[in-house]
Amino acid sequence: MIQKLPDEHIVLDYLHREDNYAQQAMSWIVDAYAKRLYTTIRRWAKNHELTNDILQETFLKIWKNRTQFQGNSSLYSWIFRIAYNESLQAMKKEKKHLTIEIDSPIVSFHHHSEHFGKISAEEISSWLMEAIDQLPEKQRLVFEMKYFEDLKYEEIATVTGGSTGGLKANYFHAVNKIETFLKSKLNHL
Amino acid sequence: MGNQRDVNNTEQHIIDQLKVEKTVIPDDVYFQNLKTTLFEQIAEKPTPKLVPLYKRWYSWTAIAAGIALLLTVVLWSPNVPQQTHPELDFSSLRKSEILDYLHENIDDVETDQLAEQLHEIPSPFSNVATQTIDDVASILDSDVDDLFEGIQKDEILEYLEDQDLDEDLLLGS
Repeated sequence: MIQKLPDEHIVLDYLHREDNYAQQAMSWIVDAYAKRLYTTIRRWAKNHELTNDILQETFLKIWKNRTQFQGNSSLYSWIFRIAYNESLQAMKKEKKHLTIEIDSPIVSFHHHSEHFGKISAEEISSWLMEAIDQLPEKQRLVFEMKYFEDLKYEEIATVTGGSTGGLKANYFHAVNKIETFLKSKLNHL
Repeated sequence: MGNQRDVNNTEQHIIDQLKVEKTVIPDDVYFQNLKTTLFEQIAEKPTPKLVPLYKRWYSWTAIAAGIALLLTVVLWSPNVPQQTHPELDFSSLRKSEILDYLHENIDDVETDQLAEQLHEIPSPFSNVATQTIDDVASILDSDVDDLFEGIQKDEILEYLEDQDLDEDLLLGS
């Protein structure tokens, strides 16, 4: 399995072909992004089975729509959007909202605090996902990559485009909105 | 209430007091199987090849047949008056068409020619000479209000946030 994708122009070029080169490009994409996508989708989906279904559907959708992608955004940004849409659709089918019924918490508390005495890790995880779910798409993407994947702004910029200053502003606003949401939830306990 | 005050007064962000739990991902065998299954499905359902329209003989045949039918109906129908060649003059053009043309060919039009035509186009400023500055300002204000009617301040701010503006500028706002 390769971890790093060849140059995106080459991948795009191969993807648009109708011979075996397209499958070669698809193979690179699966190798490079399967684990990362699994981790991202797993945060949204409630269990491994659902994550597996969404992941497969995401890759099939990438294959089916490969000629429509013209490189206007980065490849991962396009893939991320497909994964996100597939996750939303899967949740609708399950008639469950994206942000509830989390099997395992995505965050826990660093140390005991009296502020959080009454709240479980599952609850704060659910609130956090609810808050993230309300962010505009770019803020959500930047926040998830920075907070959960701990990427540097320069690395995020290769996915989302834009300047690091702009990304910092996006993250700053995302954090403020999430804080407001969480404080409101805590105040109504 | 004590809890509420504590939460609001804390200087540290709540999310900074949280620890991100590592997602447990399956082993490499899972991802290898996923890839195998995926390529089996891709092989079963090959993406339909995109055939350019010009290569589809039946499309051209259908288009040609349609045109032939239309011509037959138009030329042979006794109810349809024969088309004459009406004389075209400037009045048969709409003002919007004239303005579009000028926009596209603006470099070729002399300024004084444009000025000559301007008085024929009604606008809020056509009688500006007889209006006071306050009158003109009120027209501008009402136009701006109409423009932003129905748009919340938060929506404008959110839009600006997504425009990759300079960070200092945003923070300053």
